[in-house]
Amino acid sequence: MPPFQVNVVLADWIWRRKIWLFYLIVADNIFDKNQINVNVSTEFENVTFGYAKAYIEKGEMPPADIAPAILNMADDFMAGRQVAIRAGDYIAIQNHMRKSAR
Amino acid sequence: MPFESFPHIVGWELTLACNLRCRHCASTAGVPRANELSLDECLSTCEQFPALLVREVDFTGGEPLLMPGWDKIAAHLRKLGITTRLVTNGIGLTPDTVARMKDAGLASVGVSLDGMETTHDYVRAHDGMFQVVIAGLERLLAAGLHSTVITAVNSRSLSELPQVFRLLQSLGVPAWQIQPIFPSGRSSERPELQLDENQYLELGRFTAKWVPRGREVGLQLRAADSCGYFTELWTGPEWYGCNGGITAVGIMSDGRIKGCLSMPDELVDGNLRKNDLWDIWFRPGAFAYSRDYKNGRLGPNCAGCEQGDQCRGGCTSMSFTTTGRFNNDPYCYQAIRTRQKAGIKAHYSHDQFVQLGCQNLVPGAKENFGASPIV
Repeated sequence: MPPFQVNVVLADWIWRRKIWLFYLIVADNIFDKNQINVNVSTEFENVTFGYAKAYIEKGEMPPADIAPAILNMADDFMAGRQVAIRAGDYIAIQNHMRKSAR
Repeated sequence: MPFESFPHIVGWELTLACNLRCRHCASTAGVPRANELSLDECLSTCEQFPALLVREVDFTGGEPLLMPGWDKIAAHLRKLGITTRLVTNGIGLTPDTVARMKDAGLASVGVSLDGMETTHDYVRAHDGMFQVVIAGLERLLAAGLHSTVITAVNSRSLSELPQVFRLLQSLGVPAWQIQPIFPSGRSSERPELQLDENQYLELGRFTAKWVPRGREVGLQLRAADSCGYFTELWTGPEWYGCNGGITAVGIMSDGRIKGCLSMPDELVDGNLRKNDLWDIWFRPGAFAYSRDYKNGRLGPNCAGCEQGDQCRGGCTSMSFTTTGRFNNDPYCYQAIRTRQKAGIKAHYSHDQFVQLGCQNLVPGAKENFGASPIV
């Protein structure tokens, strides 16, 4: 199966910084758009897909700290779109996973 | 609002060991740091990068080729889908090493060349190095490895830049990065090598004139690292301030973390042996000198500048190293012209900096901008 991919949307104030690194070596074209296509981990896929499925099929709300992110992802799933999440939502999901793992 | 950016580019000092003792070395490289990260620790650190959306890792040192296993780390990063580049002094580019670079999947190799033969060998403090580097470059190019030549411009090499351009063009080098030498480390003991303000403007005039010429002949010339940031002398993308701790991070060979490896050790923000990179990166208050910039917080060299709040006072490292404070980089085309027109001197201009000595200026000069290391 191909890896689960999401697009992480960078904040505008970050995206406009075209000089990503200004020392060491010429580093150009790190991104060609303000979204990064990410092959997320299996754990990330299981967590987000599990919560989104529970919301879609049973109407169960995800945990509050990641609810907005999961609901947006559920919208994308239902519409058959490539999943796109804001950088802040991506961070919230990673933090949620890290907290759960402790 | 929580911080919402990632360390998309990692500068990684694999070791501080170096087989040269260059006169301009800002890292004072030579002897390895005590307790440098092992190969296993490095490989395990790589595993932390994908979640942090790291897109590129640049190996540096010291001389990174002296770290046993550099190619294993590069190969591991390639498996993780992360672009990897390496910056070397160029004297270890043997056929075997070049083959290992290719096998490891390096996207490009940066090679230091700091002037024509006499100047380069003077800076390296070792005769014959220029020829060794040229031979190494030729091997890289013959192997089809993308190569960038990096020149730290000093008062001796400034006038040689057109010759270096022609040399690189004749060799078929595709990219050339030039930057002023950085007055810290061993370099701070060499005032005669530093660029004065007029020479700094001359460097700007060189890039303004030769960047377009480079485009015509397939040599991508880039001014970087405290070259800038406005006026017609600036040839790069629009500058929005230091990226250290915003889109870039530096890993020291002993696991300490900085926003950028050029920053002095006072600006360490964590240690990989105590916390993972995610926790260091997203710790509230981390990299505050860069992230918590407030409009108007400019030093005297930048106060009143129309671009000041966009620029945020230039290069954090250069500013802190030469003036003891942030947002106050004296090496700026626009600021130098403004000062020269008004007949005023920079606050801690280079002359003052050298007279005072870096060592006397920096300790205790750090302002309380919220940086609270967890080292």
